[in-house]
Formats: sequence, structure tokens, C-alpha cells
Amino acid sequence: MRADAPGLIRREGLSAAQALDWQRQTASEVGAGLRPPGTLLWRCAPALIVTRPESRLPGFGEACEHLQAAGWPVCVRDCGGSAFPVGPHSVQIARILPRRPGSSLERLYGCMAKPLIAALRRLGVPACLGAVPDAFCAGSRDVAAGGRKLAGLAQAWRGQPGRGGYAMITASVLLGGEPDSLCRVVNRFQRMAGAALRCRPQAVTAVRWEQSAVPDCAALSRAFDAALAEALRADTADIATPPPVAAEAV
Amino acid sequence: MADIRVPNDLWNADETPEGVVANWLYRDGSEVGAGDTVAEIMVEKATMEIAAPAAGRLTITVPKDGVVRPGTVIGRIDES
Repeated sequence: MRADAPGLIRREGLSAAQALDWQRQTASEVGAGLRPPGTLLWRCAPALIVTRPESRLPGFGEACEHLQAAGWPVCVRDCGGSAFPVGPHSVQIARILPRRPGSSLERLYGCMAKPLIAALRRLGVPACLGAVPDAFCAGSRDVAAGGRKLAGLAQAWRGQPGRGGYAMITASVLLGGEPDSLCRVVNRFQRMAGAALRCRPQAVTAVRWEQSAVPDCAALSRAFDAALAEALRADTADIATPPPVAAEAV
Repeated sequence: MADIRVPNDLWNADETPEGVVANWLYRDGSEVGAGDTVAEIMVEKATMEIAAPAAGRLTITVPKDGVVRPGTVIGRIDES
């Protein structure tokens, strides 16, 4: 574990389940005031990350067994959205801050989107926010390049403002990987679990495929980490500053 | 009676009109404590926990998977 921008902590070599546990634990500590707000960056072995509603689909158990046998263990996360694959082809980012009165969905998405898009542009990728309807885990705040999904953003707000609650904004960034095989894994899960949702590989890309010279994966990972750290250094004030609205009306 | 309301400023309804109740953590008619997390809503790939504003008996007015907007009353607490 090391910090290379204020509040940025990186971990590698964990399983997805271990990394999600670490993320939850860290978030709880931020909510409780035991840690300052910060950003986690992690890479893990291949896995399919799904949402709680998807874990209640009729064929969920069977889909998990099938994918586990195929080398894609299934993990459940706290954020919304739908299933997406993680692994050496991708990097996961989580920005965590105490849940504050007046926080809004849009402001918190901005806390992730702004430095992430800045980092991708530093790498020469013309990234922008936009919906990519046929991508996996599609949302209106996907990060896209050339109309194809490059990264997905999501949020989980746990607990209540002033009582140990936290907000976590996550991003899953595709650095490499083959869209065909990644979409096949997601579609297999959805079909077996009993969901109607399907994705198309034509709607998905990766940083590697959006650069004029295709770098090797290790060099690309290092370059992305450095670009993100630089973007976060320029942006740290955003996550540390409480929103201007005075009260959250519950 | 105290309303359990989706906070008015949780998201911008002009950009994102609707969310859904993803889950109720208590059954209709349960006794809950003030500040207990009673429901989870989902909007734009965000999940958000909603707390009971008072202690008392819970009445669910918007069921699981029901559509909500900022300001929607999703349940009530009978404090008597």
C-alpha cells in the first residue's frame, strides 16, 4: 500500500471480494471520522461484479456456479447499475467522503468524472461523459470515447449525514481487454440469472484501443496511475470542501 | 405522523426525473427507531439509504420497485 497523491491509496494482488471488503471498511472509517476523505485505486484478479438487485434474480445461484467454474467469480457490490467484469484489463477507483447535508448525486459524480476525464485526456484519449445504452452497466454518466464506453461511474450512500454515514463514488476503467470476450461473460451471467439485459461489444472500448500507438499493458497501467495521481493533485480541494447547501431535508 | 421523504436536494429532477425504491429494510407495520435506515433507493446507478425521521410504527406508502422523485413521501411513522 502506498500513497502517491494526497489521499490516494493503491492496492494490487487482491481478489475482487477482498478489494470490495477493503473498500467498504475504508469507507466506514471515513464516515466515522477515523480517516480523512480519500481515493482508493485497485486492480484484482478476474471477477464479475453485480448489484444487490441482480443477486435476487431467480437464476443467480446457478449463474454464480457456472461463472466461478469458468474463472469469473461473482461478487456483489453496494453501488447501483448492473453487472460488469473486472480483472487485469481494468482499474477500479473509489472516492470516499463523509455523507454531508446537501450532497447531491450530480455534484458527487463530478468529483469522480472531472479528475478521471482529465487523466484520460492526459493519455491522449478524447474522453467525455455520455450515455452508451448497449454497453454493460450502462448509465447516463458513462465515460466514453468515440461513442463507446470506456469507464462506468456509480455511487453508494450509506448511513446518514452526521452519524457516521459516507458517500462513495466509484469508477471502473477499461484499460485493455477484448470487448467481445468481456461482453460474452456479462451476457452469460444475465441470461443464466434470468435478466433481460444484454450488452454489445460494439458499445465498449478501452484506453488501449483509443491510443494511436498501442502500448503494452504494464506501461499503460503505469501511465494511467501517474495521470490520475496528477489529476487528483489538481482536484483534491473538491472532495474536501463541503457542499454549499445548508440542510438535507429528511 | 412523520413522513419518510426522499430528500428534495438528493438529485436534480430536471436531469434525472425518477428513481425507484430498491429495498425496504423493515416490513410494513414494524417498529423502527429514529434514525434507523429503513429503505434504500436507487437512481442513476446510485444507491442511497433513507432514515426514519422518528421512532414508531412504519407504514410503507411506496412499495419496493415503486417510482420516486425528490420530495416523494415513501412511508410514514406513527409516533403514537
